[in-house]
Amino acid sequence: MSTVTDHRLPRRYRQTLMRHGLTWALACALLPAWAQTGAPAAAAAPITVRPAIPDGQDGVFQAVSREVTVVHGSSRSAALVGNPIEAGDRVLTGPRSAAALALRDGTRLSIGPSTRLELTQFLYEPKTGSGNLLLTLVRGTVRVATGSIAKVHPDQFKLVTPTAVIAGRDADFIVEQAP
Amino acid sequence: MKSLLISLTAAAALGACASATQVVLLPHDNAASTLQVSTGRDSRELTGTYAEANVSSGGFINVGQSNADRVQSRYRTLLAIQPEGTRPLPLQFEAGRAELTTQSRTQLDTAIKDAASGANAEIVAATGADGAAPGAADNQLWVRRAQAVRTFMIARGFDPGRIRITSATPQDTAASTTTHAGAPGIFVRMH
Repeated sequence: MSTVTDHRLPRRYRQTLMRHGLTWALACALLPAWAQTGAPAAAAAPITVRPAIPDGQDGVFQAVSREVTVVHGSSRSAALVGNPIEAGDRVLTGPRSAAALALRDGTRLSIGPSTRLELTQFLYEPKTGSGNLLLTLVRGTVRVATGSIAKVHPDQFKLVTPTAVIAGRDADFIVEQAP
Repeated sequence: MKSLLISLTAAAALGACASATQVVLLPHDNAASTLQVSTGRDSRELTGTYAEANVSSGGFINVGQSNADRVQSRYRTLLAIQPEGTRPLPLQFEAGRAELTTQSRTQLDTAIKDAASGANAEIVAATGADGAAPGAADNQLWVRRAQAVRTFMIARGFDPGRIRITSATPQDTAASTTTHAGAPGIFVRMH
């Protein structure tokens, strides 16, 4: 990381930029904005905002399609958009069903059809971005875009299946577990 | 009897080799993203977009390469549902200057309010230069724009301690993930 304190980037960095052609990629990104506004070469820079999750919740359902069930302790209920999810909860999806969740540390989960996924452990300290996240995929498919926990302490994030353990560091990935 | 034994042996061998777990690494803005796939008897690292690992029920890991078409075809339903995790907003600068346009100031203002009100909100911004004249001057503009976004955010009351300006070469991004990237806040990344 190079924290920017000067107006001029180090020579090494400038050379790296040129070598990777990033400037030209950026120029390509500018063209739509130029065409749209009519302004000469105004830079378009993407900015993203992640949603907040209410205090006291580990995560929240952001999208639900068809048959999605949450098992919380001994109770089962249909998942609805906006419903919370807590450590220890299991999510079950039916055929052709899917769900999307966001966890408090910014981890995003997409759960595919015929899946059984458990949020086995989740601890998160917002001030430091650290914590502990353990997911258990019993069957089906899940897409994981890791959040703060995997960035700050990659060894504190794991997804386990009956046959493998997957540890990620700042990654977006899919895991499929055969029944 | 002999043929039955052979069949059972073959079935057991196939079972041990059949893929029980599949893992595929998707495109990510951090080029240094990696996955470690481990079993009781093997461990492999996945790096690079669409790198995949097939784990047999016996714990053997076979690393290969998938591609966008195969992933899209195989995981269509999964990929169709997206967490509303990010909201992309275009940020425009006046040509040749490190000054946000009026519209972008309004957009950024709203984004800052959203982020400030949330316990876990994070803004990830990427600024750029105009690209018309690549070189030292263009890079300076790039930096000044990143700093302009930072200044704007601070002026709107956002905690300066939650803002980092970082470069984003693969090497630098790898380093940044261990130092600051997980903390909730705003990262002005230069791509």
